[in-house]
Amino acid sequence: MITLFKDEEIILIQRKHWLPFVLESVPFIIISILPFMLFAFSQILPLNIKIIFDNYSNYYFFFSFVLIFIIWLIFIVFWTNYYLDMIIITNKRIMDIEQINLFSRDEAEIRFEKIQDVKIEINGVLPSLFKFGDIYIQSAAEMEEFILKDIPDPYKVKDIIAAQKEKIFDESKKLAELVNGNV
Amino acid sequence: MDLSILNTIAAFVLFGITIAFIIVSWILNYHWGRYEISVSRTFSIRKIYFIISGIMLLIILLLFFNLKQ
Repeated sequence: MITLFKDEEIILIQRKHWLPFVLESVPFIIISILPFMLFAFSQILPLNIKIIFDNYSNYYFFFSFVLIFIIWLIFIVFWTNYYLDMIIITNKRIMDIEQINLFSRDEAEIRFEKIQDVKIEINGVLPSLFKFGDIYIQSAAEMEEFILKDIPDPYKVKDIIAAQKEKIFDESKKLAELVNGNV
Repeated sequence: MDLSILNTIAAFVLFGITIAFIIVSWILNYHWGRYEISVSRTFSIRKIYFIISGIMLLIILLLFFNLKQ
């Protein structure tokens, strides 16, 4: 579970775009239907091979379903890695959570005060058509660049970040004026 | 071909995937419970996962008993 600070509210939770995930899932679908296609194909093979398929069809279907079940387990692990990858924008910071695999997880965060520049990069035909891309956030500190990959509608996310940054900047300006006024 | 060898292999495979299913489910449940933000969504994901896996395991079990006949 994500632990929030006092007075912190979640503004946006954004997962990666579905298209790269779907494209990477295609091999799972192909491997799953392959045994059935092979069986259908076996009916037009020479008689001696067809007899082997027919005689051992029970075993063939058993091991085919075992294969599909193993593919299903691998797919669900793969989907979990996709699903738990997300960015969370709150009113105080941006959190980038990357689920690399089941036993490897990377969580990074950047506070709005530290953000200097936000850049969007949309490269390729599919990202342009389906409106997803990478967001690069440059921080004021010596930290490395903060990269959010395959984010859907990056312009909207950039606008949210810019608006929140502006809000925080105004609040700190008012606070500074108030402190200076009192002094 | 000696069918008893194939039956033994099938029994070992069935045992192996059952163990794999238990371990994978345990790890996934841990991840969904710990890192997912919405509790209701976690519940739905678990439900879908166990229904699909249950149906598939049932089919495999039926096919396994069909081997003996």
